Amino acid sequence: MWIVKKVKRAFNVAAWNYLPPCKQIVKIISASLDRKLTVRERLVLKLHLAACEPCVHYLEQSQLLSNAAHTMDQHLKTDLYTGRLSDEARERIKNILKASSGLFALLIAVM
Amino acid sequence: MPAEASSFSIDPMQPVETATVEVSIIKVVPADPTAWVDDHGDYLFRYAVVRLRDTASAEDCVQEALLSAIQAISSYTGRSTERTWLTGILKHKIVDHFRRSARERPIPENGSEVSDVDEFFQPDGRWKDHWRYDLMPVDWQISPETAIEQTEFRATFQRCLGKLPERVAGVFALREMEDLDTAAICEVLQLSNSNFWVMMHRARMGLRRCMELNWFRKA
Repeated sequence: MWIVKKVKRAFNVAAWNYLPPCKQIVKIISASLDRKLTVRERLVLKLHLAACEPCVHYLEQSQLLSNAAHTMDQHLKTDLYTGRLSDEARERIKNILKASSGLFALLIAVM
Repeated sequence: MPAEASSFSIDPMQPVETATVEVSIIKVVPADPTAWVDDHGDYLFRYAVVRLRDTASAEDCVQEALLSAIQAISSYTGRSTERTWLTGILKHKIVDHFRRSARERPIPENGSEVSDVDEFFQPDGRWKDHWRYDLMPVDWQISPETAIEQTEFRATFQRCLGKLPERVAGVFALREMEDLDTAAICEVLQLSNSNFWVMMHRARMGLRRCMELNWFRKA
């Protein structure tokens, strides 16, 4: 069994030395969230992740952030720290709407 | 039940034709649009401000959306809720806003926003282009579901979005929040394909690092 381990280790070392470094890998990780990776990219990524813990964290965390962005709207009703329409803007918009809908109703009445 | 179903009632004793006439009249005459501001104003504002980050632009978009809604009221079928319908109109106004500001201030070629993300990696040596030791992503020791449920996590996420360079944040918002595809974003923001990828990557690197510093390390 030890020979299998040795071969595996040698293979990993070789892979580590000849495959692209983290800087390239994080680009592939980012791309994986936006498009389908090529076969080569997937292979390179897999080999790299087997040996590099920071990149594994990077992958998980960028997936988490993508998720957080996608689910943001579900929390808009309750997450009040996002702010609210200021009283001044509220009044202004109401006045503009009143003026505009009056005009619109008039237009319909004329037609 | 959608709320608007209760805004008119169909009397079972009335002949059917009368009831149908009543429905069509209600669809043409706008309901009091100022009520939209009270009912949905805050929600629409938040929807816009998390994408645009700027209060004034968000208010403008809400105003434009509600104005368009008055003119489009006859197209509102009541199949979706009033809020969903208004949000749909607001989405278009937000994309228009991005399109306009991209036209007014195009992204400078070779500017920092579109340059390669180098600063996180070792400049030379045996580990050239691997993570710098002080900037390596660390284990956050939390499941994604738990993190997203935390108010603190979401609040920090919004603050971190606010710290991204303006155009980088715009690309991220259109991709990850509006869910537009690459081609559409490049068209709206007048970006080349390769600039899109760099900016998206910049946004993720910056956000992740910001979350690590301001959420994970402080938790």
